[in-house]
Order: sequence, then C-alpha cells, then structure tokens
Amino acid sequence: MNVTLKYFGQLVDIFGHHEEQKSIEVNTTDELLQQLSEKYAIAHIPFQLAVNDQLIGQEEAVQLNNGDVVALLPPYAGG
Amino acid sequence: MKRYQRQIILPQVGEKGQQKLAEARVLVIGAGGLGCALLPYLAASGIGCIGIVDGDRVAESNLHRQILYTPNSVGQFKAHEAKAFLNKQNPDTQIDSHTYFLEGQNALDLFRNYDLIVDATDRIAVRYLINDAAVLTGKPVVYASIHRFEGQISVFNFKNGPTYRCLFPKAVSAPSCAEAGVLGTAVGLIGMLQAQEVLKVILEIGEILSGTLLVYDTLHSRQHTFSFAKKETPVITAAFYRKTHLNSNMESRPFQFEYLENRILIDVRELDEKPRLIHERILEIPLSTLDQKIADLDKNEAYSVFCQSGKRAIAVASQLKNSGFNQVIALQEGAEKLSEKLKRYKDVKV
Repeated sequence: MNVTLKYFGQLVDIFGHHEEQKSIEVNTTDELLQQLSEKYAIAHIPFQLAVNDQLIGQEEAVQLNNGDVVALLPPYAGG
Repeated sequence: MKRYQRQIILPQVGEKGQQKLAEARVLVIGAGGLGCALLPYLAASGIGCIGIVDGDRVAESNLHRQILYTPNSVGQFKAHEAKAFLNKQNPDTQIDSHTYFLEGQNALDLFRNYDLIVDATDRIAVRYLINDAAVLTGKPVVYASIHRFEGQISVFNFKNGPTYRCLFPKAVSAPSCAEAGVLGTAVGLIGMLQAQEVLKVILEIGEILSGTLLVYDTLHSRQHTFSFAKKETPVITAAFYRKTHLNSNMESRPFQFEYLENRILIDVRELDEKPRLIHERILEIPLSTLDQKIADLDKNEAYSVFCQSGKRAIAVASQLKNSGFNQVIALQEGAEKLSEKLKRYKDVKV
C-alpha cells in the first residue's frame, strides 16, 4: 500500500526531506516504525506518531490503510 | 479607554472583554525569543498583571531575536530589562519581574498568584515542571516551542483538558536554540500565535488549541494540526510532584553557549584532573579550597559550576545556594564533554 510520511523537527535532517510517498509492505504502525529504524538512525530521538492527524499512544499499534498520512512528531525545546 | 477602542469595537471583545483583560493575571515563564515576542502585545492589550520569570541575563547572542533588549541590556537580568520596556509601553499594566529560574520549590506558590501560565521556556525538563505545577494549581498553560524554522503551539490543562504529558509522555531532551540555531522572525511568528491563544483563553472566544497541537513550518509556509486525547497516566498528584520535582535541592542544567557570555563558570575539580579548561570566565576553585575562596565570590553574580562527572558540581552549587548565592546552577556536563562543546570558542584553551 502507499502512505504519505511527514517528518518534523530534527527528523527532517535524518530523513532528508519533509514529506515523502512510500510504498510499504507492512500493515501496522509498529511494523512501519521497525522498518524505518532499521534504515535510519532514529532510536535516539523521541517522537510521537500521528495517523491522519490523530496522535496515537506510544505502545499502540494502529492498522494502516492505503492513502494514510503518518506524521513523526518530536518535541521541540527552543524558546 | 480610548487606548483600547479599536479592540473594544470587535464584537468578540467589547467592554466586557476589555474588563476580562484588565482583571487577568498572566505568568510568562521565559523572557527569551518567545517571551520577547508575546510580552509587548500582551501588555499593549491591557492585561492587568503580567509576571515574568527568568533567572538569565541578556547575552549579546540573544539580541538578534530577543527584541526587548538593546546592547546596553547585555549582562542585565532579562526580567528587569523586559519590565522596564513594558512599563514604558503600557503604564496601566502591572509587571512583576522574578529574576530566578522556575524550580520545583518555587513553582506552586508562584502559579497560585496567576490565572494563566505561558510556557515560553527553552528546556524540556522545565516544560514538565510547568505542566505538573499547572495541573496541581488548576491553571491553563499556553505552550509554544521552537525547532529552527518550526514551532509547536498548544493549550494544556484547559478546563481539565489534555496536558503536555498526554502529548509527550516521556521525559526527553531536544536541542535548544543555542544548539540548533534559530531565526528571529521564526520565533517571533510562533510567539505571536502563542500570544493569540493567551488572549483567546482570557476572552473566552474562538476555538482554543486544547487537545490540538498546531505545528507551523515558517520555512515552507505550511501548518498542520494534530489532535490528541487526555490520558489518565501518570496521575499528577502532590506525591507525584514531590517525587518528580522536589527530590533534589539542586538540578543540573545542560551547558549553553551563551553561558560564557552571561555567567561565570567555576571548575571545582582538583588541579591535577584533566583536561584543564582555561578562559577568563572560568574560575578554578578546587573543592578542597572552596571554603576559603567562597568569601571572594560575589553573591549577585551568576555562576555555573562544573566538575568531572557532574556530582561535585551539584554538591557545590547546593552549598553556594544555601550560602545566599541565588544565581548559581550546576552543569550536567563533566569537563571532558564540556571541552568538546567549548572547542567552538577559539579563546578557550583546552
């Protein structure tokens, strides 16, 4: 299926862009995260996931559907 | 009230709204980039009382974005300088300046004196402290934070709504403006959105960003909103607060580059501990000589204490604080890590 991934904060540097369309073979958010962390060094950055603009819980695995938008949101510190 | 006439004629404000503003008491934590952007607009709107909490002094590297300060402000307390500006701008607004950092020990008493808390700080740990103290004292928090060109804005604990811990449950760290870099206009834009939420909460108008995180990317002119739900864990009780925010008298803070401009660093390691860090603003006072040297230190000066691992720094900073030094902090980094960070400064000899 195809999903849109949106990156924020420090994650923009790590993934190299703000947004991308991705064809994925996994079905849930935890599988997607697993796959991303194998390819990118994101383990040291805390972030929350939002699926279609709704934040999901940290231990929650949400079923993904074709066309979903998944956002990766780290906290910011600056002020 | 000619001064406020243009906002009073708005149907959403009116005489009644202006009265709400005049009766409001707002506490702004942090007089940095966000604070400098929102404070003049809050004062200009006729808010009755604004408290400003910031233990920092103005550094030259603040001036490009912290627009309440001038070159003459460098070395002065931000809270005092901001108050001086705002008093001239609107003599009707009472400004309280608190020239110390928000800590577990002072947060609850401070919050009880105000109706609404504005989180304009630059550290994640303080954001959790603000959140928990606001929940315990029943105050809404208008939050904003910055990463480079992006800002996050939300309102927490509004009518018992979701809090910062519902959004980001785990205690974490993130780069500050000093580490990541920031453009003055970006922090100004985000501060303005934050000020708008403050006025909306006081006036009880529009849709409040409660349970909603607004993320604004000023570089690509994109904005996103995300909704999040209230979570009941952890339950923020007095016991939870004690355990989380009062377990040590002295908390250590990460080093920021401006400390070399606006604070004096004290190295409490013995002289044979390596690496040595040599700079005109680093004093070498080995722990074994502290009791004799303490009389030479100035109680009004801002000191940052460091050592090899961070443990002695906490002990010495606590001792100084108990001896009447109010502007003292312990640095998280040991000398090794600090020397890495200080390599950027050509005039530090490592």
